[in-house]
Amino acid sequence: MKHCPSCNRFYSDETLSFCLDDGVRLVGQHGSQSHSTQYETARQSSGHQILQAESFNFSNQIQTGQAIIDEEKPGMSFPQSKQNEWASQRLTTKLYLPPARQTLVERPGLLEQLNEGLKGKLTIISAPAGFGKTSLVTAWRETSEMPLAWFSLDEEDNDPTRFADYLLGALQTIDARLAQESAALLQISPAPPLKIILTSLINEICETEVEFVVAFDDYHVIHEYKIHEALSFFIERLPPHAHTLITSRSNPPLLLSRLRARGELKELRAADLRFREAEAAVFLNDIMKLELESRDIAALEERTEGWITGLQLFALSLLGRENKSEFVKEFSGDHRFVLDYLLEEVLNHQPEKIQDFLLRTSVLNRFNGSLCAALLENGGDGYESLEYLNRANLFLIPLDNKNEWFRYHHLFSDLLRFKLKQKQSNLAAELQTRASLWCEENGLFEEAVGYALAAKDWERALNLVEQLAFKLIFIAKFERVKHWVEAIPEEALKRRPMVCNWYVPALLYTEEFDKAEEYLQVIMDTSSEEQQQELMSASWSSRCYITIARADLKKTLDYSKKAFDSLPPGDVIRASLAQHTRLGCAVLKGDMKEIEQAVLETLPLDRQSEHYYFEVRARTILGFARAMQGHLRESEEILLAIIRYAEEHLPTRPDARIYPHSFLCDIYRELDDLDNARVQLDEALTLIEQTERESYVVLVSENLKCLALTLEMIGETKQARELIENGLKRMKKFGNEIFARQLRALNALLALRRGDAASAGAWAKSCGLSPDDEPSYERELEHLTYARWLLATDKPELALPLLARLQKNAEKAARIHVVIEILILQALSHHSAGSLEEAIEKLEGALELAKSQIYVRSFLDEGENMSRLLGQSLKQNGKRWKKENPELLNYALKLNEAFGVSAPLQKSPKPEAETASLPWWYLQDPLSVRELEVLQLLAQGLSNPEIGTKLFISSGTVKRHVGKIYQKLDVHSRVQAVELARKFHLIPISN
Amino acid sequence: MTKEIQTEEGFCVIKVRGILEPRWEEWFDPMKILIESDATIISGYIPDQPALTGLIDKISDFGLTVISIKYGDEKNTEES
Repeated sequence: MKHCPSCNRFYSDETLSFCLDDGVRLVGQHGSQSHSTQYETARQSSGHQILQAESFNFSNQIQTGQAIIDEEKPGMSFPQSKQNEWASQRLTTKLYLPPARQTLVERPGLLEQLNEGLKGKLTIISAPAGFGKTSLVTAWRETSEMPLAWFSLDEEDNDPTRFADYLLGALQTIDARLAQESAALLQISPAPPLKIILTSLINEICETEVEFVVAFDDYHVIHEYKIHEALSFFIERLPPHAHTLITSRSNPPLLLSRLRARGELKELRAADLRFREAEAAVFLNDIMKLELESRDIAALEERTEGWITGLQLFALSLLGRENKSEFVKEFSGDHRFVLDYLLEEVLNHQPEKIQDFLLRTSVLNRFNGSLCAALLENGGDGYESLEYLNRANLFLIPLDNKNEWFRYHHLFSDLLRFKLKQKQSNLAAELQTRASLWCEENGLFEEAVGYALAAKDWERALNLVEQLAFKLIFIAKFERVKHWVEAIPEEALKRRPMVCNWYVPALLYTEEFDKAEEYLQVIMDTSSEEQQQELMSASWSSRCYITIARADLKKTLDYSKKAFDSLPPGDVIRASLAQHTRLGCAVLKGDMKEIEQAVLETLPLDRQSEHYYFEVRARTILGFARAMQGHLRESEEILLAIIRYAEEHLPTRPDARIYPHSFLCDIYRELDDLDNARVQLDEALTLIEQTERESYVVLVSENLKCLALTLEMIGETKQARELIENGLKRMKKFGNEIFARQLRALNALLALRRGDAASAGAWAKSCGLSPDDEPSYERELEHLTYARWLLATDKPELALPLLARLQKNAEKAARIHVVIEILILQALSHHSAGSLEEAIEKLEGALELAKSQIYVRSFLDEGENMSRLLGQSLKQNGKRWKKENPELLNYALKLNEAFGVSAPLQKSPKPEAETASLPWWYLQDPLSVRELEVLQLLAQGLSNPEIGTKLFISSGTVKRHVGKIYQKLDVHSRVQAVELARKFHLIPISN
Repeated sequence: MTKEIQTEEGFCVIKVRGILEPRWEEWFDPMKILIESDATIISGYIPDQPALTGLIDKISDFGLTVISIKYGDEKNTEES
């Protein structure tokens, strides 16, 4: 069964086929007439999937771009594109702790120690393989009432997202309702950093009452530093009713000093786990019924050093032997390595059929009878041998309670694999290929790819990836595709343009443009004529994506034309991609009229191809363009609508909402609606942190400008600077010097705002600008900042001619927002040069353009000088305005009043004075202003939603703030947070 | 009898308890195995620290007990 996101139903494999572009869509061909478009995906004999657009009609049924923008309730008839079942395809066997064998030696002393340990936060069982770590936990579970969440780790869990997914799955085995919110976070693409998911999880655990243990088995396979770090963080902050248990062959590299200091860490080591003589006697004589004499047992105990697996192997090799004592003597006197010696003995004692079975199946990570049979020669019976092994206690570990899936004891399978390699070095790859085939036939696609990769059967791996990639790309699982593709040698990959075609979107997503270009070239060079027809247009569009990111207008125009020229007839998806390159060109040119035109043309295509991410992008750019044209209210409406639309249709790509929030932030800031500006700022910053991304590759500077100006205004200078610094790094990676220059100018602009003349001066000297420069959109921010600097350094006569040229250029492209700013700067320049008449004339021009939308900050932010000029203008022209232009007068009066109220910019209150008594760790990472506000409201006993309503932020954002407060104050509850905050005077003592 | 083990840049000598048959040499490729009374010496060039920790993991996964490790650019002569 497969899920079709475009109609939200499940269909069988035969009737549903898929297609995709740039991580976007999946379409059904299952005869549902309600689909606005129908595609046919033809399976070629090679197994390639080829996309052909079938019937679509541009003129008839399609909504126009304007109709889409005007929709009252956007997308009512468009079903949500939900995650398909892929995302939640967990192997339940990883969350299953096999039951205790009847034959376990009872170890009450150890159980008591373990029970003691599990009262604290963390217990580590650390010993080499074969010391009975897992068995101890199994035995403990039989004796304890406490629920146990079991997470058995493997190499693949080094992927933090997968790690989080299974951890949540493990906890949900205790209570299915647990960790719902954290699980929702995981549906987002890209998944938020592990630490954020675990923070959310801690909050959810805090809300439960049930005491439980969560166990991480075989933690030594984890080498990803991010996981160690996040897990340390998680364990430290768990509430007292949650306990963790780690089994590992080596000491886990967690940061445990605090836990150790508080006595909340218990360690059980090899020395604790090894069998004592008495235990060895119980095992060998009572359980294995070997009837050994006590001196033999003592000798064995010494020889194996209490190593349980060693004793077990010994017992197995003794079974059926006549002279046991003789063998013990022989074994004890031999200095050979215990395992080597015993394994040989055990294996050699097995029937040949079983030996062969063991060697062949050793390549499997997990197996059932059918899979084993697929690896046997002459159709041997997998089930029969499995049953024999299970009875003989030959290191078989059940993975479910139906006796269906098993794995070998790790040490045992390692050694078997080694023996297999020694015996028949080429056989392993052949067996892995057979396993891959079986998995594919049985619908275990991810494992099928895994075995094909292990077998180095690249053709097979490529075939599988080619079939799977588009589904994964569609649900934005770019990392998974990359992970697979990058395990395949380049030479093999580069012979397969269709796979490269799926690899490129993943590379664009991770912004590895050089590599993407390399593979685009491969597609161009290696595809057949037929493939070319299908792939060329999208390839040119991808190239455009890269040239847009580099702000290379000339190349973008060229490639955009090529994308249109090579468009397969009737292919609406590729048409939407190509149309977006045209939109990119318009944005790079900064021509608002052209942008509007391009948006109106692309929206019907985006909508028709259900290309939600692109639709949101286009509408966001439209919102930006309207604001630029001075239509702030209209822009606000568009952006608010697009946020709702994106929340509904693109829940998996929250990064699409970053720009709408930041553009809204700028609009509210301009309107001097600081509360709303901060709400939008918060949302944008939350999304940037959560997704670890910034949004589209165009409008980077505009986005950062919106956020940085508001941050600067509320006194968060450091954060503004960091944001720009990150933007600069990104631009350096892109090789985009044009945007980088804009961002450096933005830094200088902020410096000027702060009155930091030195920094601004240093920039002005190094930026290579001159008052004689010809204006262009790409340098507009630089030139405006430069003009400001000229003005600030008392050279208005140099600023004025430059501003005049800038004005013409901005007017030509309908950037009214900029024209207003230029008029203001001209007015101030004239004023500073002593020509009051000209100054007033320019100011009047600015007021005239700004009055209908009631611009505020553009005037207020100019401070004292503007205040004086406005006063003088009112005095001189008030009467004339009253007669000729009463609206303008009203507006000017309002502004004048506003100057009186908020002349000094609002600075945020910073915690002072008492910091000396704060703990040292607090000083390293103090609470932000917003967090202090939230803390205050917490102290008043408000709930998250109530706080959200008060601060105009979503309760999710409140939650994030609360999580950060807990983390920074090192507490686990509201009560503790408030107590500590009062103690250290972070908030008033009585509230 | 003293045996001199010269350690130089990247050369690693690990001594483990017990006797490991030479056929296990491939398992520890590219290291060489040398038996010395009731211990085994595993030695060879190790390119970097991650390779070293990988090798040590392999040895301990194998259930072998490490007695001593020498690694690096010590030029002096060791007695054993």
